[in-house]
Amino acid sequence: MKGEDQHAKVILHLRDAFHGAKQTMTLSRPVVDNQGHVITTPHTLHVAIPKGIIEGQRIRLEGQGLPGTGGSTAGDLYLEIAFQEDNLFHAEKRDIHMTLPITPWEAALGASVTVPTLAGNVTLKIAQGSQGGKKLRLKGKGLSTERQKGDQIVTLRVVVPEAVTDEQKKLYATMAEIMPANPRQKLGV
Amino acid sequence: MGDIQYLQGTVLNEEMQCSLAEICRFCGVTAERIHEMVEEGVISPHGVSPREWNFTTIEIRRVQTTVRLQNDLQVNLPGCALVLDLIEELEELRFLNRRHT
Repeated sequence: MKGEDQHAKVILHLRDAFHGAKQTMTLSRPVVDNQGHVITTPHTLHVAIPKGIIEGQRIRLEGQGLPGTGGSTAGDLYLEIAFQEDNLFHAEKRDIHMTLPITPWEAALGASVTVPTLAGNVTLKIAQGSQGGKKLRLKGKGLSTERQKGDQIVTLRVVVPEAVTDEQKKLYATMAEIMPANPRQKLGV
Repeated sequence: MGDIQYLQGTVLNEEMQCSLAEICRFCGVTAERIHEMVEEGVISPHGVSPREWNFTTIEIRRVQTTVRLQNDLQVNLPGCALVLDLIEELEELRFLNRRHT
């Protein structure tokens, strides 16, 4: 009788999913000992994780499941991919999302800023007059395979510096005078 | 010490599609059992006739879970369809919850 399939979860770092990785894992496998008792023994496997794998996908390893009986073939092993939490990035299917803090003057005047990606740092151009919440796409910086491409989606978050000194407070007051604005206009107040 | 040999598996990805014979081999079930699952709405392959049926990785997973539910817990097919729908809904909600926390 063919051996049963085995299922296991593999927790990967996003970088390993992006680049591909080699993993060594140990699974518990039930076997029958000389006295006929079922005991679990560790079974170590070395598995190549292909580049661009995404959360929820499974890798089928033929013949790596539980052994068959009476000379039959072993079952298959299915590894389900899950991702570790990451401080900077989170994946949605093939796209990698991150929030990029920028200053008000970078948003207002435009700037070129360095952005981390899973492929390393890149320079991103922020257009003049950008607002918080704006999304910018870095093509091909997501979880890509040869046939399926993922992007990195960068969401801008404008960080307002705290006015601590008198000079800094004065600068904000000057801005209020020179650049009167009502961001609550649409609220009707 | 020799070089470590790393196993190369098959990724069951969104592009992968398989025939009736292939899903039977992957899941260790008979074609008749697949027919029953289609009739009960456990899986919905693309294609009109069994010869044209195409199964995605979602169907492979649903069939494998159904086999386990039937063998281990003796759940009938309508029960399996319900359990599978609830598992998928739970996974979706967990994913959304993680995104917003």
